[in-house]
Amino acid sequence: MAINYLSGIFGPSLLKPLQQHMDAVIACVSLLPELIVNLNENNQQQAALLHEQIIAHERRGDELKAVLREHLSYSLLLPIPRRDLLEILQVQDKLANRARDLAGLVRRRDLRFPEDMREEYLRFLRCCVNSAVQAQSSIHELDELFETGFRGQVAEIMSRFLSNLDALETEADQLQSELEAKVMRKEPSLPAVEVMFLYRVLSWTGNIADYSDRIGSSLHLLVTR
Amino acid sequence: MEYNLILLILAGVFGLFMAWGIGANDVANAMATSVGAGALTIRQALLVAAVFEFTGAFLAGGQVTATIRSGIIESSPFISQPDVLAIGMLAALLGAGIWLMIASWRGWPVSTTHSIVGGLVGFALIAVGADAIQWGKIGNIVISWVVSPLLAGVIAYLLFLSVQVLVLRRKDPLSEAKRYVPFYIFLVGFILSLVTLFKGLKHIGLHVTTQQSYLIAVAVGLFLALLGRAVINRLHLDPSADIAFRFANVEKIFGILMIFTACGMAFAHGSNDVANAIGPVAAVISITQTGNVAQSSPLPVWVLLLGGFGIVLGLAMLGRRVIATVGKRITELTPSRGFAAEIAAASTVVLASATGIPVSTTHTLVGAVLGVGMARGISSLNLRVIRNVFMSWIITIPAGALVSILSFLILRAILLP
Repeated sequence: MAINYLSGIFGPSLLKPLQQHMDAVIACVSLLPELIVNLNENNQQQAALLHEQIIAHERRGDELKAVLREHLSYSLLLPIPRRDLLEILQVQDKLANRARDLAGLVRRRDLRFPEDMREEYLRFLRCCVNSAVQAQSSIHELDELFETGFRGQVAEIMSRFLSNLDALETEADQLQSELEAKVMRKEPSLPAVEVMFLYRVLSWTGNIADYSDRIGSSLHLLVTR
Repeated sequence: MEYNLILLILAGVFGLFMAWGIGANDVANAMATSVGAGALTIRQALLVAAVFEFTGAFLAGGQVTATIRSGIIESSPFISQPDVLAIGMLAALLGAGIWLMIASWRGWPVSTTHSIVGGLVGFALIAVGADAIQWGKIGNIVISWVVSPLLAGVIAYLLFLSVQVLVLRRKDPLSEAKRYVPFYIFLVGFILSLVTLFKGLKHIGLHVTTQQSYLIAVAVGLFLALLGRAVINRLHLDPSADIAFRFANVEKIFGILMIFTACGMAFAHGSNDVANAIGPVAAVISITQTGNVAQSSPLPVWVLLLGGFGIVLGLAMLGRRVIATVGKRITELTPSRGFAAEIAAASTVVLASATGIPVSTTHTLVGAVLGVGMARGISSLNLRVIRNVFMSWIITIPAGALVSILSFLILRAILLP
């Protein structure tokens, strides 16, 4: 009894690895607010530790991504179109990369917002992280969605999650443009190079909400297809 | 007389060997689905298999046994040499048994049915030539090997779709499951008993009219459905299990359904595949007792018991391990999916049994699983293995035939003076 072909027809489950990947990504993203707080308070040691953790989570995500990619190389019959699955995986990966890059940028340059903007930036960042966490919940809903064949009651719950995600993304957009306006008003009083990087931090932070929303759109396609 | 006794003993031994192989592999596959879904423990699966394999073979296995005995090989060329037909039957059994052992040791998707049919064709070709084979019947059988997985796939697809619409997508899937699962249990009992009543029972001397058949089938279905409902109502459902996964308790209810479908699977398998082992034995007995090749004597009950015993023996010795390993690896087939695959496979196989066509239970089950996958019910199916199953259709007949030819030549050299 080498291989039994009846059990052989069942391919590797792809939902679990996708969810595990997302968990690693979220572990990475959700450390960002704490990192910013510690930098603001000049706790360099703690900040360095958090930065290391972010990098470690991102690496773990990459490993899980590789496993999933390998599974997808089989000729498999999947309940979700392979293209959509890969798209979701790619965006999740981008999410972790952005978080890692953002952490690297603020740490290396020891970048801090002007004091009167810090509270507002943290609010923006937390809003973006929330949208990522909402995307994670939606990814975890895939189990139940799969159980019902991607329709019905669970699909409605999923739709609610996704409109929630949309709302968070809109809020994040709003906060981002307000912050950008503030930076612009302060441009004359700040060093030009720092202004440039502050804009970059804002844009990268906003990306976190954007990517989360993109995961949401991919999931939306799955339930409406 | 001495000589006939040797033939009889050999038939008994080879038949037992073949039945043992079927039990170790085929039956294990049929049972593993329910074990993997968590509906049965291995011990319970062994018990279910022992009881229902025998029941299936006894009540509904007559047609296929007749086909294996006398429907594939043309008996007229053997009228002057009945011994050759008897030795050929032994060779087909031995060849198929050996080929099965090699194949399952290598993990090839080979079916007992295909092997025995290949074995019969092989020895007849060598002993007499192409005239000795009922090619029309072989054509039908081979077509049914393609049709049966397809049919099972379509049925499974529709069944799983119905579960999605009736239960899983509803607002309160738990109470919908409680309402509809007894109906599916009814379906299992109704279909299996109806097909059995229509075709099978005349082999054990019972005659029922069409109307009686429907009435009895409805009665059996209703009885099982009520039994199922009673079991479901007694089921201890833990609401806290639904927090992690909202369908945990729904799956538990479908688990009850899977106990019934497992019985159906074993019954269907018994009605079709036991014949692979006992058909040739029955032929040898008939030839040695009557001295002619007409195959008119009825099937002795002890042959059925031999087949049943061999299957249970194989299942208990090796099948237990196969069930454990296969069951562990097919947890993807949760009860709400597994039952659809099992009802589809069991109905298709029993239908084939009623028309006397030997089909492969495992391949039919593979087709049914694929049908559930088509309805987006399984998280991933490996299509490469499906392709291998198709390949095995092409390879098994010549391979089974070849081993059977070798067995025939050796046996003839030893047994024929």
